[in-house]
Amino acid sequence: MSEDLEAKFLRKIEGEEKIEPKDWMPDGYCKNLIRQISQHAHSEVIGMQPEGNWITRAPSLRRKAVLLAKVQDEGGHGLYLYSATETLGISRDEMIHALQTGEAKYASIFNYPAQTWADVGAIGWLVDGAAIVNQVSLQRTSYGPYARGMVRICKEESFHQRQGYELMLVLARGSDDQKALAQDALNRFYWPSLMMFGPHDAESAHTAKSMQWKIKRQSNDELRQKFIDQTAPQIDFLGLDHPDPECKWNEERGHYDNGEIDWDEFYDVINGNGHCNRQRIEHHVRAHREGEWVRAAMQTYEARKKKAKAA
Amino acid sequence: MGACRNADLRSQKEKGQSGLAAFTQYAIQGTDMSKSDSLELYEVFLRSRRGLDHKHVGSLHAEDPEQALEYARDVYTRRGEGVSIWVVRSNDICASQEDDSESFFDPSNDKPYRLATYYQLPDEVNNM
Ligand SMILES: [Fe+2]
Ligand SMILES: [Fe+2]
Repeated sequence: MSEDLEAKFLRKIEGEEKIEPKDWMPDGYCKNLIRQISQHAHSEVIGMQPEGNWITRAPSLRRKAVLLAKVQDEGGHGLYLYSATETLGISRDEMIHALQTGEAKYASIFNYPAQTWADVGAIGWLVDGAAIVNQVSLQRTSYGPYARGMVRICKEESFHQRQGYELMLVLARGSDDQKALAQDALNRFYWPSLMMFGPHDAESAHTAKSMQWKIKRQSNDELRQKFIDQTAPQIDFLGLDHPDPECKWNEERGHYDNGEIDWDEFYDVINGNGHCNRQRIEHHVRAHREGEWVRAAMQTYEARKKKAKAA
Repeated sequence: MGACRNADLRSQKEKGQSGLAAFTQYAIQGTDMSKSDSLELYEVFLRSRRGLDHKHVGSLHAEDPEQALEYARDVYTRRGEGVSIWVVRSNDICASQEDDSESFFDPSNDKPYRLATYYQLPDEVNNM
């Protein structure tokens, strides 16, 4: 019986059919999805913090409106993804709890601070840029609700990257000070952006099974290469120095070669020692606690309405 | 027009809850047509292929959700139109009003900077 179900499940995966919430799925597939989608959701939500920090200090009303709209989008992305995860039978409360206790992870990139206005540009261009490479690939993930969420999110992401690059372009063509600000932001965000794709394929704990189940469609290294390739000419166009002196076009491979990533830094940040790990979670806990009275008021109001209706 | 249903819709509208404007009409028509108390109106959604969203295709009357599902299969999928059906009681759908769409959707109309095309980039880097 269970062998039958598993065979049927695998046949669907093989045939590029999507798995839908009410279909039978192996426990491991479900757990793997919950881990990945909720982590993705947490990343969207925590990712609002570094940029949100600049909303009140944006240099013009236009930039402020744009940044506000972008950060608002990220909150929306979090919602799409939490909802997709909920189709697998886990509650929002459980997920928030896992995030706040450190049991669930989020993208390490958001443990880096946004120190200057140029960082807002670098984040849109590089961090959202890297996220887009990953998310475009995930539009073909095997779980229906996740795939459809990705399609929706990708449609909204393009503006995030373009506003970031446009901001960088203005700085890079500005005064010497502005150009230096842009270069500094690029230097600080380039490597962590490469790390967003995760460890090398050989070291990645979840990759093999995820690829077999088609949760992931391309490996960490493939996706990273794609990002390196698309970013090099963009850096060049800005007239900035590439942060990786070893990044050179390789005619034979048809790709850019690159220098090695500092994996000690990667694991250090993942394990909680980044600049802002504690601050990010503390802020989330505080915001959640401060919203408690709103949730309570909503429940009270609902109860009162029901009572009035019944009377 | 069913006064009760109409009042329901109005109160939903006053609460400013969102939904799908297209259903309003079905809901109102339904009150006219269902003379019998035993039949309720259901909205039918079809997934034409695995991986796609369910799409609204129409409505029908049924005694209960299980019956609605079978009727939906009989009347909406005779030519293999779908691989999955959802039925939802029309009464359970909370819809926004087309008349109000101006004020309801207005806040997003004057924000072109939410669109990727708002950002003009030189040709060399315009492929992002
Ligand atoms: Fe996002
Ligand atoms: Fe984004």
